Parts: sequence; structure tokens; C-alpha cells
Amino acid sequence: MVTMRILLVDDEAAVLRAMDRLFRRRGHQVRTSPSAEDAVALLDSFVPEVVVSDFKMKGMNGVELLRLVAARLPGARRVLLSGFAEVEGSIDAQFLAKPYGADDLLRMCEGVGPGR
Amino acid sequence: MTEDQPAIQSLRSHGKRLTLTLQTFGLALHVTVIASQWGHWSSVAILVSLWLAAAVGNVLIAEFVTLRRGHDRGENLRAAYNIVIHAAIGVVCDWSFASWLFVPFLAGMIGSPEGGQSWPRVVALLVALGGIALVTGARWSDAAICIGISMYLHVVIDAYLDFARKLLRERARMFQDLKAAQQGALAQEKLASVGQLAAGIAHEINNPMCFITANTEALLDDLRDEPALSPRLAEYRDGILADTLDGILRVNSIVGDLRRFARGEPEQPVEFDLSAEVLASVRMARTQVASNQELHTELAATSRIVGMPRQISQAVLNLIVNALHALDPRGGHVWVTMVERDDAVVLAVKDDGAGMSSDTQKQLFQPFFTSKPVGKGLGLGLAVVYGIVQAHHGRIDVDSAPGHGTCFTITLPRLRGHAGAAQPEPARAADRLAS
Repeated sequence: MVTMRILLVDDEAAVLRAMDRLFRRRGHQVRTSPSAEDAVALLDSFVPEVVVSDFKMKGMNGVELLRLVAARLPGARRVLLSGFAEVEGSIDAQFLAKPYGADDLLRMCEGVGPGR
Repeated sequence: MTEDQPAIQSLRSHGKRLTLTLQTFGLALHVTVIASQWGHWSSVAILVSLWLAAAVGNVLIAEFVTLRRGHDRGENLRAAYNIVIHAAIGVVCDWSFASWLFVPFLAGMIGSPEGGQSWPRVVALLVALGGIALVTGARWSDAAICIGISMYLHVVIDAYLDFARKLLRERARMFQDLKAAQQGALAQEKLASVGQLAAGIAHEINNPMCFITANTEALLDDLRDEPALSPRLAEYRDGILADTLDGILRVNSIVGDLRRFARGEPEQPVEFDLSAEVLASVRMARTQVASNQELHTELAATSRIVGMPRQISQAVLNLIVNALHALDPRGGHVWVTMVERDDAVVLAVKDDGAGMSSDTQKQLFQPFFTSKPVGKGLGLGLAVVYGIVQAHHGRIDVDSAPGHGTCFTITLPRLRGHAGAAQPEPARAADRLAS
């Protein structure tokens, strides 16, 4: 399996840790960020192939972040996590409803089934 | 309702005043007639007897004919009876002018037959009375004047009464409409606020459930990969964590239902064939149809609509499964029908099962309301159906009575034409709820 550079953005540390462990164990290179603003700053030193972001965060929200990512890194795969569905139609990104299953998250980020 | 109390009291006192006026007027008439016969004591005695007979007769007719054999028959008899009495009064008074005074009074009091007009009855009464009067020696000019005035009074009074009745009926109808609309609006408002609450709770539970689910799954996977576990940890691997995950999945499914009720199901609106989705739901429901139950499908429409096909399919499946549960244990039928009506498509799920009381119907779409025994249902099924129908800009109605089955009707806006057809905007719950 190809390893990828993945950026995870969520203001809930436990969610970040859970996702971090999931992707790290599959051999991906993972960076995490507790806010959209921090994630933007991180983009200077880390060029992700996949960005996974929560929607509702303090400050910049996930939709705004992914729009910015789309502008700076048009090739990056973007996944939005949210408990609210309605943002789905409004952005150019894949959407995953919370609570998500690990299989769905992996499928969206790696682009293939995890084969478990 | 309380604002209506003074109005009703004022109407009642109006009614009392009207009755008093009529009684006073009647008494004055009697006094005038007696005065015209003053000194002729035998005539006075006969007059008093006739009036007593009139009063008793009218009461008896009202009691024994009008109440028991119908208003029309009673009124006809009363008119005939009063002609005889008044003809007798006329004869006793030798058709003096005073004896005619009762005639307009009487004509004004004759009521209309049900659904008809009162004038034929009044004309019959006046012609008969006039005929008897002329034959028994009345002056034709007195008869003509009194009958003319009586006819005029009757027409005026009858027109006013008719107007008042129509006004009252119209007011009662408007009041009923207003009350129904108010109740409907209250119910909608209540459901909307419950929906917001549900969405808020769902969102708050969602976040921790994300990592609880992920962490428990990861822990179980890791324990399975471990070659030599202590017996204690093996117990976790072989049962406890599987039970825990099962509980987590149940919580997640409830949270998912709450979100669907609050119109937050993640699905992009597309144009789709409604009948295909309904048939898919029927196919899924067939697995739950018992051997003594029958599920009939009659889809007379092949409408395309814009919406979320998976949600529609789930709504229909929920309704069919509910209908199957409502059937008598000895067997029963469920019908799924679909028809087009102007710019809407009407989908109905009907059963001949137990039916519901009006109390149950009122609470039907509220989350966590259930009539099923504990453990048989959470009471989210119909709340979810309601949320889905709302998200599609449709409406859901229920028609049911205990022992007479239930019919749920979903009305959805139909796609007309192709280009530029009305698209339901995606529900904006996020705007409302994401604070």
C-alpha cells in the first residue's frame, strides 16, 4: 500500500488521537492540528496529499479551511467530517457524517477499500 | 375561549330582553282585545278559554309532535291549530279590528321548514283565515289590511332571521377553521423545537462517539493480534469488547435516527424515480411479512421527484413495518398505493389492523413516543418519517380509528417539466443549529 501524507484537523483532541492512531498504524505520515488556523500555518512546512477536517470548530470552520486547501493544493484530497449534513452540497469535498466508521474514513482517504 | 365568555353572556341577556318584549307585547294585545269586549262577559270568558286552549295546544304540539315526529309536521299542525283558534276569536269578537291584531303577531312567529321557505305555510294560513273571516261576516277591508301587514311583517322578520342564522353558521365555521389551523401550527412548532433539541443532542453525542467507537474497535483489533493473552484479557477479546461495540453501535444508530428526524441525513438531493424506491422498500419489507399477512402494491404513478432516495425508501419501509406490526395476530392486509394528483404525488400505506385512538394520533410523530411494548421500539420510526417528509417539502397525514385500521398518506411535490424544475433546497438545519 502507498503511504500518504495526511493532515488531520479537529478541535477535539480525543478524535485527533483516534484518527492519528488509525492512519499511523497503516503506515501513513500523519500531522494533526487542533484548529484550522494552525493547519493553515502547518501547510508551509507540510504538504499533505489528504486533509481531513471537522466542520464545526472555533474560528475558521472546516468548509473555509478546505476551500483554502483547494486553492493552495488543488491535487489534495479533501474530507469533511460533520454531524450536520447540510454543508455537504456547499463544498467541493468528500463528506463523512459523524459518527463515522473506520472503514469509511480509510476508504475515503486512501481511495480504496481497507480490505479488512 | 375566555374572550368569548362576555360575548356569550351579552347574547344571553339580549335573548332574555327579546323574550320579555314579545311577552309584554302579547299581553298588551290580550288586554286590548279584552277591553274591546268589556261588558260582554260571556265573550270575555270564551276568549280566555280560547287563549288557554291556544297556550296548552301549542305546548302539546311542541312536546308531542315537533320533538317526536319532526319540525315540519309540528309547524304545519301548529299553523292549522292557530287558524282555528283565531277564527274562533274573530267570530267571538264579531271580527272587530282588535280581533285582527293577533294575526300579524302569529304570522311573524311561523318558522321555516327545514331547508325550505316559510312563506307557502304563511300564505296558506292567511288565505285560510281570510276565507273563514269573510264567510263568517268580517269586513273585507279589515281582512285585506291585516293580511297585507301580516305578510309584510313575516317577510321582513324571516329575512332577518335567515341573515342571522347564516351569519352564525359562517362565524362558527370560521372559528372551527381558525382553531384547526392554530392546533396544527402549535403541533408543528412543538415538533420543530423537539427537532432542534434532538439535533443538538445528536451533535453533542456524535463527537465523543467518534473516538469511543474508533478506540474500542482498535483495542479489540489489537487484542486479537496479540498471540499470548492472559485469561483476563482473553475474556475482553472474546466477549466483553464485542458486547461493548454492540452497545456503541446501538447508541450510534439512535443518534443517527435523531439526526434524520432533525433533517440532517447526509444525502445529496437528486432527481429519481419514486416508484422504484417504493418498490425497493416493499421488497425489503417482504422479509418481515408473516404467512397469514398480505402486502399489496398498487403504484398507479411513475413520478420522478427531487429528493433523497435513500431517505424516502427508509420512510416507506418504516411505515410498512409499522403497518405489519399493527395487524391482528390472526392475519391482515397492508396496501401500498401511489397516485398522481395535479402537482403532487400521493403515497399511502394502509392497513386493516388495530387502528389508533385520537390521543395516540396526536403524539404520533414525537420522538420517543411509542405504543409498542418496552424493548420493541424506541419511538423514533415515525419521528424519522416525519423529518424526512418535511425535508422533502411534503406533508404526512394519518387517518385512523380503533378497530378500523390506519392509513398514512405522504404527499410530495412532483417534478414538472425538466429544465428548471423546482428543486427542494437542501434543508438548512446547519444554519439553524450550528451556533
